[in-house]
Amino acid sequence: MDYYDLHTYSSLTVGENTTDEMIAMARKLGLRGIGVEGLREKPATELDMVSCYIIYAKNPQQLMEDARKYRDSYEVLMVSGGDYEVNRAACENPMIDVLCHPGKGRKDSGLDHVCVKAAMENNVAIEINFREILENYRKRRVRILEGIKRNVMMCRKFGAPVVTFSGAVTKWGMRAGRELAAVASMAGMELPDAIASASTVPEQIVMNNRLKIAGKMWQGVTVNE
Amino acid sequence: MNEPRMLPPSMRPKKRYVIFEIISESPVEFKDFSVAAWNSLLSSLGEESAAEARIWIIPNLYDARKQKGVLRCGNAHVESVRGALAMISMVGESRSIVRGIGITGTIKSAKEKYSDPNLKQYA
Repeated sequence: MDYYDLHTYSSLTVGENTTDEMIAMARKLGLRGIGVEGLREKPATELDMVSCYIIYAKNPQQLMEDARKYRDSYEVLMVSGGDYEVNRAACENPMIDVLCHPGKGRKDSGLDHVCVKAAMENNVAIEINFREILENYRKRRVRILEGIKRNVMMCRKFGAPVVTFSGAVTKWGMRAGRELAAVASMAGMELPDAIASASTVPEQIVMNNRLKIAGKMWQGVTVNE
Repeated sequence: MNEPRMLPPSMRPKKRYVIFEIISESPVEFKDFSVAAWNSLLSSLGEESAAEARIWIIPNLYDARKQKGVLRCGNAHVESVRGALAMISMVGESRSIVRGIGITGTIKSAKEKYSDPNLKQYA
């Protein structure tokens, strides 16, 4: 099984370790590919390096502007969630691939059934962020898990895609794909779906976007050579 | 006879053996790992589920040089145990990652896989 972790940070942005150190750890953990935020020049490695960009938008207008600006430059476009308006705008925008930590800094899960339905229609994946769970303890961790379980329940009901990423800011925050899947399974996903959330779902996002960037895929049309 | 008799095979609870590997800044002793694992298991499963899971971190199968070991749990609790092990971030004084390498049904096959250098394929 090929596992992908598309949400990591290196010293290029806010991370503690260099991109090379992150790559070395990903290899140790048996990952097939990683996405390091802000990485444009892909280093030569056997790992599948994915260029990712995370939009930190304060309002839906800014999100739309950034999405238009960066859509064709990066293979995966993610949105840092937390604000309900931004979460909803991300779910309603087909240019966005992943909505990261929708419940960040909130007491609730950050999503409702309207957002999740929109996410399903626009093929926006909802992220289970492992760092949120790892870096919080006791009551706060319980609240975060509660929010994640609620989001997972809605995604299962409406068929919205779910991805599980580490969100690691250091190499010690990374985990093997199967461990991320186990955490997703703890959050209420069926085991095959949990495994897919760390492997086939992110892989499909990357492959589709590569085809789109190469001009071989449009909405509903794929060029087969 | 001072001990109760062993249950017949059909009545024995099913168990699985999780083979794990520790990736850490510095070598980790079994005692430190055991403390960290139990803290994580108790905080994520709770006392009731931990009791149901029948967890046993097997001391004599821990290889301090290779940083690999075996943990026994109930067959219905493998995923929650794996998830709990993933939540370990510190073992003793060093930052660590615990990675499950494989799951087996017997100690014998755990030992066979354990001594196999190509453990990656079982993950």
